Amino acid sequence: MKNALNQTIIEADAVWKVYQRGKTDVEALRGVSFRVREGEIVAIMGPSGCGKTTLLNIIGGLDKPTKGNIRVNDIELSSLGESKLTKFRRENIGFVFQFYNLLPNLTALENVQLPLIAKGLSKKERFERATEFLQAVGLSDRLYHKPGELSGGEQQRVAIARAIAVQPSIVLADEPTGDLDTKTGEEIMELLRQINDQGQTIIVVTHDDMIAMTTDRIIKLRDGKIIENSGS
Amino acid sequence: MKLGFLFISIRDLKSKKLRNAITVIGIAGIIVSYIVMISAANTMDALVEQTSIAYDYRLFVMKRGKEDPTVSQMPEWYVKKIERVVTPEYIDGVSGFLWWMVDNSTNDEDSEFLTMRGLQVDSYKQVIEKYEIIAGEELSDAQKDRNYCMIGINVAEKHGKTVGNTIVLKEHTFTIKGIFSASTIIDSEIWLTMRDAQNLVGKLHKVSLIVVKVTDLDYVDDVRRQIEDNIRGVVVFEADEYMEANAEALESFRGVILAVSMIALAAAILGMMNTMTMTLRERRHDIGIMKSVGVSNKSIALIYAVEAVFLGFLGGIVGVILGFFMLNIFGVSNVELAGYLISINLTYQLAFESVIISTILGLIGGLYPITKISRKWALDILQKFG
Repeated sequence: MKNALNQTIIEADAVWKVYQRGKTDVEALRGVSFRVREGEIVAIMGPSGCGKTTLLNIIGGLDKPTKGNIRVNDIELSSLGESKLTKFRRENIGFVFQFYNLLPNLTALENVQLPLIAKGLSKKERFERATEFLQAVGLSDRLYHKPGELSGGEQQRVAIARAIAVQPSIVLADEPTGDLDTKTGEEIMELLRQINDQGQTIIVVTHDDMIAMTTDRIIKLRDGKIIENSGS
Repeated sequence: MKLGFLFISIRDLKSKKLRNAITVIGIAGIIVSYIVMISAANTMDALVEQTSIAYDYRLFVMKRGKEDPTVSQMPEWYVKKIERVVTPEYIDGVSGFLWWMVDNSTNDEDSEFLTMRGLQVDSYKQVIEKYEIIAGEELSDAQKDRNYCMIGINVAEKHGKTVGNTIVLKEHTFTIKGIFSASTIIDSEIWLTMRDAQNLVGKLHKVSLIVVKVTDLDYVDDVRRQIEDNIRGVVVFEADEYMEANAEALESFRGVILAVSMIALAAAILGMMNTMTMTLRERRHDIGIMKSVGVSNKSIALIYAVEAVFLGFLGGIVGVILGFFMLNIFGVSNVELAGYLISINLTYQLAFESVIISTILGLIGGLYPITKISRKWALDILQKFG
């Protein structure tokens, strides 16, 4: 485990999330509380439908809790509106999704530039930074390829380059290896660990015990509740 | 709002070439009809205005209760009576006209109504609105000019007639003695001597309208009173009142034209709304991704607003080009409405206005779906639940 004196970067306090599906209330999260320190790499595990992705979305400001507080980088997210949450994501969060979520009409270079444009970097700066990060994930020869021309592993690397290009303090990865073969999955995790070594906090949602074992800490969820919160 | 995202608009436009082309053609078609309708409405406006100016200083006497020159009927001797009852220094001239719409249709599919005017050839020039003879001569002798006529420039152009040719009205043949032009609604008329006109429509010694030209506008009320007090059963109109009645048909057509053009524009907006809704539906996932990486609502709205505006602008340009070809190459430059030949002109101003309107309607059509989706939560769009 990394330095326990590091500051708390994520603090969830009795977070509830209730969805309405037709006339039925679905409790995706039921009073979840935990903390993550700066620089940690944490795995969130649990069976399908246990609320892992919901929790990740709430940490990333993609969703809001129905009840409870979520504090990220000293920002209380539950009180922010949609446009302020967009700004929060732009400045603090990098997302890596299971199915990469790249824009199909844009090249790898352009996809990585998206958050950089949003952040207001000049054309030259964003070109240089996107190129640098694509080189860092081993895609220097794929800059001008569109997602359809890349393998799954390569697409996920582009997604990782996009997530870290703005150098966010937190990277949230939702089953980043879920759609990849074992070897490519290991490569992607190695990449995330390298990013973590540079000081960025990483939360990984995964089903894979082997991947979870390589993180600093595992938070296990079942039926919307934390059933285990322990170091590996 | 970041302009750096605009390259995404270009990529999206390129990726849906066929749909965008169909949208542009649809807008272009509507812009062509808009050009035709607005040009016709403008021509009507100009005609009514010019005719109204031309009728200044004139008073119009008609049968009370039948205040329409095509149905009004009075004895021809009223002309002489007016000359007697009105103070001579108040008037420049008095002349009677017989006004009739002649059905000159050759068959059911080719219907045509001509506006015909019978003239008192010794006095009409004193009161009739300003015009010029562009070919031949005027009707000037009540006897010698029997079976002769003068035609307006619009009639000449439409029927390909010139001086010396003949024209058949209700099975009577008239030789064209002169062609006149006034740039007013009278350009679509045929003028005959009073006797020919009366014989043609079976209204011997009748006139439908008597025009009195006053020497000074200050005398209008006096002249009006003198006529109405001394001749029972007639009513006197001033130029404005007369035009109002006379131009009613024209105005109602103009109203219909404007209403139809507005409906066409509304259809274009709905078409654009549909295209943008389809585009945005397909791009939902992209929009969700952009929002998740922190692209603001305004920047997302800008990306798709640029697409909508570009399609509207392109539709306008294509519409103007099609309109130009239609009017100038295929010669569809005149339409007949309410008995008048209305010319359709694609002016630089109308072309410019059409492109601007098309661009604006592109934006308006795109605005609703764009605003709707750009305000949605990223997660609602991505629809991912764990």
